Amino acid sequence: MVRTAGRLIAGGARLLATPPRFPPFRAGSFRSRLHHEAPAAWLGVALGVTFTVCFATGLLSHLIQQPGSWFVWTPRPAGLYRVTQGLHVVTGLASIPLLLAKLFVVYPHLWAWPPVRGVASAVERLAIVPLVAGSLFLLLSGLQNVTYWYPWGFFFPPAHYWAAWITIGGLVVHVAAKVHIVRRVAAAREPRPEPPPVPAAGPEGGLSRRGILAAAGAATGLVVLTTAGTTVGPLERLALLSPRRPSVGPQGFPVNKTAAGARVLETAVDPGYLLRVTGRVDEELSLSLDDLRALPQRSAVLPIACVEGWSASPRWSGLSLPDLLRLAGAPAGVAVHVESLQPSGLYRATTLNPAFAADPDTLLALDVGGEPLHLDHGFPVRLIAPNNPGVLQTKWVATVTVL
Amino acid sequence: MSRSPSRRVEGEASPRVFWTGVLLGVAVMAWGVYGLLSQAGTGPLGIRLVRWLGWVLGGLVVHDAVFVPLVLLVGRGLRRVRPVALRTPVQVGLGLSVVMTLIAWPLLRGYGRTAQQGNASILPGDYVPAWLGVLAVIWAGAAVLALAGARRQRRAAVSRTAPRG
Ligand code: HEM
Ligand code: HEM
Repeated sequence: MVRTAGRLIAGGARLLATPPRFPPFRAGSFRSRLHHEAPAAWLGVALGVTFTVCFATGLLSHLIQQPGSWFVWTPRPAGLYRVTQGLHVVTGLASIPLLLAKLFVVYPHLWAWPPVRGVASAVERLAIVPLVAGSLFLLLSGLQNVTYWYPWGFFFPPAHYWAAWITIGGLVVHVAAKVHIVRRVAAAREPRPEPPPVPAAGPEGGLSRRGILAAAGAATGLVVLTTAGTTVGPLERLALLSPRRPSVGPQGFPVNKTAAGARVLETAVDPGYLLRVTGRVDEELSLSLDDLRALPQRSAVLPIACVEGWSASPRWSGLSLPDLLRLAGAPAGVAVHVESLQPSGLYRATTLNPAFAADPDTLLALDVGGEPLHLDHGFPVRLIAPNNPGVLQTKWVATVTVL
Repeated sequence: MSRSPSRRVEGEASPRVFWTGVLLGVAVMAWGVYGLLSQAGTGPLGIRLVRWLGWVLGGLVVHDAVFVPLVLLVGRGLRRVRPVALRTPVQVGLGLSVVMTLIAWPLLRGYGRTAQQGNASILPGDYVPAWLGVLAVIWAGAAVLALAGARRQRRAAVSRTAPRG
């Protein structure tokens, strides 16, 4: 008995000591010099930066939309969300070439023999599964979401959000396991070798280790150049591969939800339309479109910045929300709930915290670019507040409730 | 610091750093799994767990079992490219073309056009010419790389044959 067990263990140990004699396990199955720790480490560092940026900006976007008791978003600076969410999407897209290059470089590790060498190595390798699967999923689902391609059959935000936590957890383990290699690679940087006969090529021709870094960098640059114009105005002409152009849409900027999609085609153009102001007020108001136009108007250039990364900054005008609250006799420092004519849907209402409700540039806009709002932009009245994500800028406003 | 190659290849992670990272990372992952499960469901706001796993693990399998092996296969084929000086430009051109095509794919296929009837501001571009333009830029860059390589090679050959002094 004991002897058989001993033999089995010895046999198992021998099996683990010698790799199977066929590829991809056989030593020398992967001959490219690109499979090396130096490009793996540098691409890792780049991914560490881009994933940290994505995680931070993504979490921020999440908190703005679902603030806990400890998080309070502010209306100033007015363009901050525009920057953070643009950064999220462009940095995420820019990670695609970095991730593909990195995973190519480290691919032979997948078939390393023996698969694990003890407890620490088992933990390290297990964490690779959520890291790699999660990274691929975040980048793919993000790309699909911004291009309005919804093939998954589940709701994107929570799926992407929780995947981000799992991926970042895997990344923390990975960095702890590999940071000594990064140090070694950084320390071993030698003076540049003689210029090779072919740019970025070693003796056998083909990409060198420096070359693959340069190529990944070039791909990243190309991605940024052809997509960042969705939010960076001067680059719009270059935004060839962007699902949105900030100047394309009715009245010169994009639409996320149309009036038809929101099912307000009739209610929004009803001549009997009234804006109701209710809740903790001295006097409830019901204002027709003419009443609204007769009140003092305020105008401001404010960004409309979508969670999907695009943004535009037209000039809006309409009623300043604090003016309207004063008119109704609401107390100071209140929060306000704004509801749409839209009968249903996740984004039919929004709650403004007291800082937003008190900002004079928080508008119930009637006009954009000097014309009445297009039906798809929220005619007759839409909310537009500084530093507020696009999905929370309620369109076709019906009711303002003081909380 | 010793610079012997064996030391450079081995080198150990500090156990303190490693296990601290494991503790922290596992806690973060556990939070993610908890959140995922708490929002698992089939309602319109739910994460359908089976489909989610299908996408997450499916992506991993497609990448590791199909995509990379294909890249390796093509890479092996490129070793036959002659003259040798063309190998790098061809590798770079192909690599960048693949990446940009992946990113352009949903636009080229126009999936988003059916997402909302009557919203012309979604996918407003003419993406096929745009994508071809990007590919043209990539291959123009590859051609420059090839020319620069050829020139450098010629110079190297001249300086080898030229008499010294
Ligand atoms: C999205 C992020 C990342 C992914 C998906 C990723 C993926 C991987 C994978 C799958 C391996 C092979 C591991 C093995 O089986 O042993 C690896 C190795 C490595 N990674 Fe990462 N990594 C990422 C980020 C990072 C970061 C931020 C760093 C820097 C601290 C880094 C540094 C390294 C190093 C030094 C290696 C070892 C390469 C070698 O020994 O040849 N990685 N990475
Ligand atoms: C191609 C790359 C990516 C794109 C295009 C992208 C896109 C998006 C979009 C459009 C949202 C807004 C979702 C919504 O609230 O409706 C979002 C949210 C988020 N993203 Fe990404 N993302 C990408 C990569 C990443 C990466 C690499 C991470 C982190 C590692 C990440 C983490 C997050 C988080 C935490 C949120 C907040 C989710 C929520 O509001 O519930 N994303 N992303």
